[in-house]
Amino acid sequence: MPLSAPENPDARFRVADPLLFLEQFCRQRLEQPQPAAAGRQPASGKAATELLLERLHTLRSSGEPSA
Amino acid sequence: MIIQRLQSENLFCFNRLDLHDLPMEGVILLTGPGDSGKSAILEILCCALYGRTAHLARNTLTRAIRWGAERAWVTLDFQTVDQSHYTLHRTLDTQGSHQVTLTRAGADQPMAIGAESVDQAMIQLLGGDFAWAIDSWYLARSRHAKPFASVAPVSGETALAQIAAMLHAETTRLDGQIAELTRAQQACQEEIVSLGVRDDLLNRLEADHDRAQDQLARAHAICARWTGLEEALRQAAQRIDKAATRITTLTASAPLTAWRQATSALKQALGEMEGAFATEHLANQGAPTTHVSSWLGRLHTRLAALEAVLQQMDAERNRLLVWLGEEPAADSSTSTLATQRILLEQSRHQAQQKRIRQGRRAQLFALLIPIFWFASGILWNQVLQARFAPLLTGLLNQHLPGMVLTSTLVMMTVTALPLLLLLCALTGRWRSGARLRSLERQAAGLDQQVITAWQIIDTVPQTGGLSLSDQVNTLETLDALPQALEMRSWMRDTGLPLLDETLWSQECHQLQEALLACQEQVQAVYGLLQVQQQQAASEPVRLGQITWRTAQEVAHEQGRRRTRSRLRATIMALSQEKAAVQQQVVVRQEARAVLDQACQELHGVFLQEMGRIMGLLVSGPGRPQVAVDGTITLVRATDSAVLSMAELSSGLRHKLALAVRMALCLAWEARFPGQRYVMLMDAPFTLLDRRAAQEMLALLQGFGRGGTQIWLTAKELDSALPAPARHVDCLTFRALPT
Repeated sequence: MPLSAPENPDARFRVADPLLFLEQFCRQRLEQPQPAAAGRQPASGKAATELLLERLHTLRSSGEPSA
Repeated sequence: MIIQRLQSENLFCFNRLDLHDLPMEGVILLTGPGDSGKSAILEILCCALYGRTAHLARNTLTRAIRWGAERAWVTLDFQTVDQSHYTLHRTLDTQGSHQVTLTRAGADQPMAIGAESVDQAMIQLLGGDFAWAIDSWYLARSRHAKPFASVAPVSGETALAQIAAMLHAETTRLDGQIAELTRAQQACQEEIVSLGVRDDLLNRLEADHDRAQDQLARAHAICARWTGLEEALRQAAQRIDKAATRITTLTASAPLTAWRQATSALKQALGEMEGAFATEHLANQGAPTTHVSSWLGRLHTRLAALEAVLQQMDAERNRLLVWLGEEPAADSSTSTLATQRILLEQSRHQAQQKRIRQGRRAQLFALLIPIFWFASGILWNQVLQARFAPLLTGLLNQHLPGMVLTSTLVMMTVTALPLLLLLCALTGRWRSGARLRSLERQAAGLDQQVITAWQIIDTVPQTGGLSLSDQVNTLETLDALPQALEMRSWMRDTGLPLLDETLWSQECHQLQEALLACQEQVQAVYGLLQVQQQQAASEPVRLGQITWRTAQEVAHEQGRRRTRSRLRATIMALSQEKAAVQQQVVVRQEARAVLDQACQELHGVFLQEMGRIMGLLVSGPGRPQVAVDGTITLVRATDSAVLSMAELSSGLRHKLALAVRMALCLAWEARFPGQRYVMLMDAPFTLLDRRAAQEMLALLQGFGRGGTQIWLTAKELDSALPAPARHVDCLTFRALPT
């Protein structure tokens, strides 16, 4: 049997921290701004992303969320 | 969560169940023949945790009560990931009663009582509700054919959902603010409409108000002017009365100063009245003073003439004082009384000395005449006649005829010469006496002049207070001096006959009558002034009422306009605030969209990762590759054909369902490393052949080594399984080695 989860590195999940994933997602979005949608200012998307980061930090400062 | 102890009574097929001393990790294998209650134990666990089972909803949970029993209960002791111990107790009866308490170990009181409260507490403790459990760590028998489960709780999307909840709450709050602002805007708009402001009305009212105020100001000015005029007129009338009274009490013999003062006061009073009337239409009523003024003018002319006379008299007095030597003369050449008296006295003294000398000379001559005569007789008879008589006679006879005549003549000359000298002395003395008497008369005249001058001096200083008659008499006394004569002629030239008392009395009488008439007319004018003043005073009252009313209307209208402006400003501010809030809402909506995108991407990544893990679980030679993308897709390795679930064998589908749970367990372990958790697997090997079942069991044992407590039900497997640990009814419990 090739799979014994704790011992087999291939069987480990590579997506561990969703908040870290979200932070990386937001920072990547800030570094590579998305094209503005029709009738929407690009700056608002930046503000929305920054707001998400702010809420993310708020959530982290208040403690890790439960699963 | 790790199950520590499970107790129940009258649930499902078990009369009494007490599973204690359970292993904290590894596989707990429940084996037994069919319908022996293996799945019921997992159902009881699920019932204890969530108040329902995979087959029974909460409203049908009474069906879990064993047949014939009225009441059932279950108590579950478990340990959470933070090493805390809890006891969950549920009681059911056939009447539908459902009581539940959750108590933390060591606490006297339950931390939650009641189904709802305990459900919320369990969600907090375990991280999800029944739906999450049934999709992730509880593989019920009914889910065997539904291998795909919700991966959101394990994939971490629930964590992101908390941010989404925060954004949603903020958006909801902001929407509430927008609604509130909109209501406030509508209220302001309705209030503006209710105000009914008319822009043209205020302009007209303000114009009316300004006009009324101007009229009121003018009326007040007129009243103030009338009041001032009344006061001036009243004071002038009082002064006229007073001056007229003074004049009417004066007589012709009154002092000139009194006349002058009285007339000056009257003139001033008349001037004030004329001045008061000058700018008003009452000036036409000031005519009565004209007659008085004419009389007063004549009187002033005459008083001025009299004052000029008095000034001349004063000048004359000064001249007399200078003449008397009482005042220093401005001109040294002026002949003063002192110098005249000195010269006169010197002349008199000289005349008196001369008279004395001449008297003494006459006495001497009178004494020397006999002596001369005697001596001359003797001399003649004895000497001259004897010696010189012949010579003299001869001379005389020679030149003059007759000797006798010559002798006689000589004798007569000798005799008459002393007499002649005496006569001359007597004549001179008489003449000196006459001069002396003349000088004495001059001195007496001069003394009289001095007396007169002093009388004038004594009277002239009182001329300012003299009566007119006395002044005339005083002027008459000035005839004693040439200057007075000149002044008298000047008085005639300047019309001083007006000093006639009769004429003066007539004029005074006429003046008094004119004053009385003037007083009457002044009173009449004063009355007219009073009437006009009353008429003028009523105008401000009327205009004041108009102004007050218009001011009230203007203030009211202005207040409404201010209110409207304030409301408009409020609406503007509310709009700005609303726009800002809306912008915040937009930002949050976009943030929610970004978050959804992130969740979607996370979901995709997780599913991709899950597919990879499942591929490892089910992979093998000749087996298709697993892809998880909303649904589980298997791609045949040989031709990359996509196989539908219907094309899969039931065993493979069962294996995939198990693989999903195991992959989720791996994901859980990845997310919360070192934390202990539980898996409930109800007959996962039912459709598997022995070899596959053993493979999967080996996998589960591998999971148990990671700290997972795995509850597993199965029919009797091969002899490789360990010996039974305990028996409940017909069930066998084994703790499989990890």
